Amino acid sequence: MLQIENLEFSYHKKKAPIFNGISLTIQPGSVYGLLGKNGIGKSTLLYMMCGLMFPHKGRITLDGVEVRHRRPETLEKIFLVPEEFDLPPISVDAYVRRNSVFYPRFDREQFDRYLADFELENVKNLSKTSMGQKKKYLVSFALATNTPLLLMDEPTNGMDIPSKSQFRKVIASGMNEQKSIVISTHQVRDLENMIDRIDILEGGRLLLDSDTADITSHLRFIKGAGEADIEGALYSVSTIAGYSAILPNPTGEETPLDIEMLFNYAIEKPAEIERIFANPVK
Amino acid sequence: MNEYDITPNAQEAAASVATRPTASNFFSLKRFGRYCSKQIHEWKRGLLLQFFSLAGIYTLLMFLFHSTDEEGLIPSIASTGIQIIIWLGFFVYIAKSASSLADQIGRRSKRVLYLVVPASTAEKYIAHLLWTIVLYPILFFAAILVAQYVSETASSMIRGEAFNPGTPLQGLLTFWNNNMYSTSFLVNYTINIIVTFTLGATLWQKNSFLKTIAACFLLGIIVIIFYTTLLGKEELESMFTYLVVGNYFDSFNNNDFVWILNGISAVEYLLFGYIGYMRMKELEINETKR
Repeated sequence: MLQIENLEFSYHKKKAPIFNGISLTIQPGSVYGLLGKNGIGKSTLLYMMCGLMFPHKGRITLDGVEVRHRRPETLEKIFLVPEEFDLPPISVDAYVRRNSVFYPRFDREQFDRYLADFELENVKNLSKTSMGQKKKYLVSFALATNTPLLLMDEPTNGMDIPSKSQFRKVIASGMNEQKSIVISTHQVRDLENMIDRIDILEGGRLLLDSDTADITSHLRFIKGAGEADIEGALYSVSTIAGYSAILPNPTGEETPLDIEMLFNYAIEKPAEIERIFANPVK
Repeated sequence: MNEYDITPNAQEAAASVATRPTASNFFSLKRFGRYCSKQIHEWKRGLLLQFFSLAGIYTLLMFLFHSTDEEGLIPSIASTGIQIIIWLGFFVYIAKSASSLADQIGRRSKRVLYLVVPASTAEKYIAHLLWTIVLYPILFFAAILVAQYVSETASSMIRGEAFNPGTPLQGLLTFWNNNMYSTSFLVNYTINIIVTFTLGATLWQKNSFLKTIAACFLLGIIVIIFYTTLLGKEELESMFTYLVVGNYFDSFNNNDFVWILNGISAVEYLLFGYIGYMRMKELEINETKR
């Protein structure tokens, strides 16, 4: 379990802090969607979660050990898929042989299955593949390591449309009760039907930290509605097919969660989100 | 099995993880071996390219040098000119190799993958020092050896000279023994270059090699200014001389000089090595101003 306590951080002393007292617990068995505008600190938070950046105040621990020490026993429990990376000029097999030894739970059969799901081949030189393909190789490897914590920074960037749906399938099949996955993205549509919890970063704090079931029990999401249907809406946008809106959900009726609309609502009316989810500023 | 069930292989692996003995978080020989193996495999194409480039350049140099020795009685490698070029090339190559740490941690995308590998900072740091102390010198002298034989073969075939390659790496070590500085000085000097340029790589990730050279020059100038200032003040000078060389001054000879230099050098590389290690330990993805 990863625990973030009162995290404070800023890139420059004189500028506003990127994080201003953030606290968050990453529990096993869930896929977290870390959302926020560009430059809000999503990648920074992911880097801090795996000890690649150090908080100015507060601490981040994995199973009670501070991640900033980058102890091997901690690093073998975390896998990070960065937004941009280079793979070495070696074959897929060689890459797996040389890197899997660091991850005691690595499963080669799983890896091969993910490669098949992504329709990837065992290429001879990984460095010569496209960025989208590199991402798919690394995501497959990351899931097969079976690390308790898997962090992904904008994993769908560079992937084409079929790859994005393959990605959703692979994540679903690679998930289990021992793992937690944190996916940071600003392309919120890519995460639909995939995440259990949503965390929205805004203005140096965690505006929302709730599971999707809790969100849909508080809010009703409607699409293609007429003007009369959206009376009392908390948030609405006009589209070609009619109105899309978020309404209060007094009956608890379940509707499909529209992450993009929720995100826009949270950014536009942060105080309302905090009030609805009785979420004290984290 | 539903999609959230753990696979049997992963279950077995998880069970073995729970029962395996805990390895040291500072240094584990097994993990260090795995880390070295990973690096060698990832770099093998680049290392091969370096080997062939070095062999090619030195073959050409040795072949061209042959023109000054028309009878071809001594092999190119044994001539003083070539030996100076080889040793100069060696020091530059070693310094550049030590600076190559900056390539691994320079670009953000590379630094991320370097830091997240589950090996300790000590293992990563020692691996780098090991490559520059052992691997790169072996690669360099293997290339020289190839160049020695290829250049002599080419000379005998093209110029019709007698094939006389000499002994492998002929005269390279005696070059040092015949000079004022002994082989121990060579070893110490090499380690010093490696540690200094490695420290430089942890301080500056862009143009690390040139910046370290500039810093060394600057340091040299400061030392010279410091000492020449002292020379102007006789009392301070004699105190400084006493502190540095003590009562050895009267019976000062080349051997003492070499050992004093070796001693200073050893202290310097231990200090630089420690600072470099601490820099690596505190390395982040973004250097932030606090």
